[in-house]
Amino acid sequence: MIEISHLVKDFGRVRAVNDLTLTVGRGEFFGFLGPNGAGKTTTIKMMAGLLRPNAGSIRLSGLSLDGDATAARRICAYIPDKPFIYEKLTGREFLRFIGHLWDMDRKEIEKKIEMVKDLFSIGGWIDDLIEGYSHGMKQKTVMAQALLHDPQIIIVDEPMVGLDPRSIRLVGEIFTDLSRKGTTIFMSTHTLTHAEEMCHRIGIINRGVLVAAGSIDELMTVAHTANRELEEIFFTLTEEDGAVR
Amino acid sequence: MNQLVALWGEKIRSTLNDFRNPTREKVLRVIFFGIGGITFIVFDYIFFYRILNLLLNPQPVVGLDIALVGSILVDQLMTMINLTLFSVLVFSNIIASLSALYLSRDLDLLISSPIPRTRLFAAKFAQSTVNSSYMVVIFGLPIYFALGRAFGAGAGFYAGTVFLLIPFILIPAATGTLLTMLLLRFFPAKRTHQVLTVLSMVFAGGIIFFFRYLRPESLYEDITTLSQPVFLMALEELRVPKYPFLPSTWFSHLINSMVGQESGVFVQNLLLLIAGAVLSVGAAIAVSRFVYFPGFSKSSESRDRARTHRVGGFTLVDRIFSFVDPRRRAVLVKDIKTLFRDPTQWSQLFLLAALIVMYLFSIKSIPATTDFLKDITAFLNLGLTGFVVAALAVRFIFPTTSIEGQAYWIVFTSPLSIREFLWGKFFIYLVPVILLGEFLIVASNILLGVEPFMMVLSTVTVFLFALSLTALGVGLGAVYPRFFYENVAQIAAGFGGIIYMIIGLIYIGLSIVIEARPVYVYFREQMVPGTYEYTSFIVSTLLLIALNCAVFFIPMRLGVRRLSRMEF
Repeated sequence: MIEISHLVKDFGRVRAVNDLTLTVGRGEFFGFLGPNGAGKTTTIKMMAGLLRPNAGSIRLSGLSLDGDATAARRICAYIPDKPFIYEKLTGREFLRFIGHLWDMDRKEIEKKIEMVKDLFSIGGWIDDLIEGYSHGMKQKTVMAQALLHDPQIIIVDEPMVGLDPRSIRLVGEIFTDLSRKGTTIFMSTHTLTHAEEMCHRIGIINRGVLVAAGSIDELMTVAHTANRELEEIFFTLTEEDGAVR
Repeated sequence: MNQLVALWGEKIRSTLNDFRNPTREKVLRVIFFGIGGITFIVFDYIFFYRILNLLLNPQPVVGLDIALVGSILVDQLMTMINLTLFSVLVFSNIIASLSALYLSRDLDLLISSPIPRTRLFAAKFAQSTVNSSYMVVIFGLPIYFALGRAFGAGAGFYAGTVFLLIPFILIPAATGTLLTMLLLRFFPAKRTHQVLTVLSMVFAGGIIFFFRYLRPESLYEDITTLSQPVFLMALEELRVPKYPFLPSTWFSHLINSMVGQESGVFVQNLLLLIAGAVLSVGAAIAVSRFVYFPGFSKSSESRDRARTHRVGGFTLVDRIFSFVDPRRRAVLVKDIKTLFRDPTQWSQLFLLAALIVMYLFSIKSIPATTDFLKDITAFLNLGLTGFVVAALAVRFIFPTTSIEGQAYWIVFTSPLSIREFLWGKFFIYLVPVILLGEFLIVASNILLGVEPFMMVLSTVTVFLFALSLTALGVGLGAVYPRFFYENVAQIAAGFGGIIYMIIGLIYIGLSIVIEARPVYVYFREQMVPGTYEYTSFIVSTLLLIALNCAVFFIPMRLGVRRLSRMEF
């Protein structure tokens, strides 16, 4: 479903992502972890088509981001780490806008808006201007837009930042349910407990290099630790000079 | 003291750091603005020096005391310039202090730091004074220096003017800041910012109307055809009021004294100006102790209040454009809603309206009496219409990619391709630009009473202008996008906007030059039948097609390429 092959991204003399190769299967919930500046957001932005890799390729459901970018974007949803959206639209208008961009039928759009409105509990303010929303409200609206067009793949960067505990639980349940139904989810996060609870497999990136990817058991093997705690595995794999190559 | 230095130094350090890694675009920008700025200052100086020199040493006119008229006109001109600069300073200080004291992103950090509030206020006040006043100094100093040279003043005049400019700038800075603080004590910051932006547009439109209303061309008629008493009456009508309580009046008296135009008023006005500056700055600092922080707190609270603001559906807009492809319609409807809900955007329509009224009013005032003169005027008017269309395009069409703002990721991660996005924007904006351009040219041709040939030529040319200037705007807007901005007007005023205006004006000029030959040949045929040259018509048509193709396709291609390769 997601095939990343030998991906490289340089910013001037700094190599942000270095020869990243990774495959995520259909319906898999993949957690992408790493310290600050490790290359998580850069990788995600390349997957969303917002950054161009210097080398390597990305295929989403077999569609190359180089050759079939439009078709690839049609089956994808991207949720950025900062929920910047059109401040002068209402939540409902924004969702309609997204529906039209994805060429959805009018009736289908309205039906889906009702669905995501209930799912994310945004009915109380969906007809207010977005400029008055809090960070969490915007974040929920951005997540709602991602689900509107039934994407096969959801690429999500730090989804839980700014959400209250109830919303965090709600979003976790929604993503888990989606992956159970066959949606592939690629999620970067700093919150290790979320990754541990929600993800089937976890990839850890450090200084642009994917140091390990797999289930908790597989990560334990790579980290040479008997401790099942993801936090311990994470610290071992991202130690200053301890990166496993 | 260290805290103040740190606060002031932060901006300078940020700017210097920005230059530490110069990209090609940054270097080009600096060179461009450097050359442009110096050219402007030199032109400003020469222009005013020649005007002042002309007024002080005019050609003799029978029946008129030229020396008297000259000195009155110089006094009028300088009074008007000082009053205008003072008003602009007050207004720009209100806007700048609002940004610096209430909306700046570093305020949360600074207010929560141990810096005493008065010091913080003083630092921010200095910052906003510099931000709002430096352009006025750059524009104003060459005028005063030109005045000094015209009167043959010594070095003391120049040093004195620079010194006097300091209190002249501080008074409106303190007044503007005081007004902002008092306003913000009662109104939310964001709303106040929007209201002030609207007011500034009305203010700018008002200035345009004011100068147009003065009809400066009438003075030319009067001086050549009328007697001295009638001329002086006309002059009296133009007289700018000299209110004794206005700092611009004190400043005018001081400048006049230094060039020897007035005597016995220097000390009194110097005291007034310096005392005014000290008192107003002192008052701003004193009042800030009581109202600045409560106002800041209130402005932070008000951020959440907009939540209760419900808005209507705009379903009509959706219906009107139901014939447009749904994806492009979605972008169009979003842009229209944003335009009418964002006061910083729709208030620019005031400027547009002022520009159109002034344009038509000017056309009506042109004394074209013969058919030949009417046609020549109509032909040259093509350039003016082109300029209005370009000015409109740089304000409304050039920012079309940038107005996606930090929400750019929505469109650029959607299945709408960059090509579809830009061409969609082109077709959206083309219709109103054609309608406006054709309205202007047809209305002005009717006012002028031109013949059918000129009407056809004008409408076809303006149609081409609309096509090419819209494509140029959409294309260059994508080549120079600016997704991070506070006010949409900043986009047009940036580097890309200036490049757009330069290319647009060159294009308009070239179009007129290309059309000049067949138009000349046509007029010659009217006077000497049988002299028409079809080759000039064919060559010009081909050249015009080539020029328009270049201005139409190249920027759009560059725009698609730049956005496709852009890294967000």
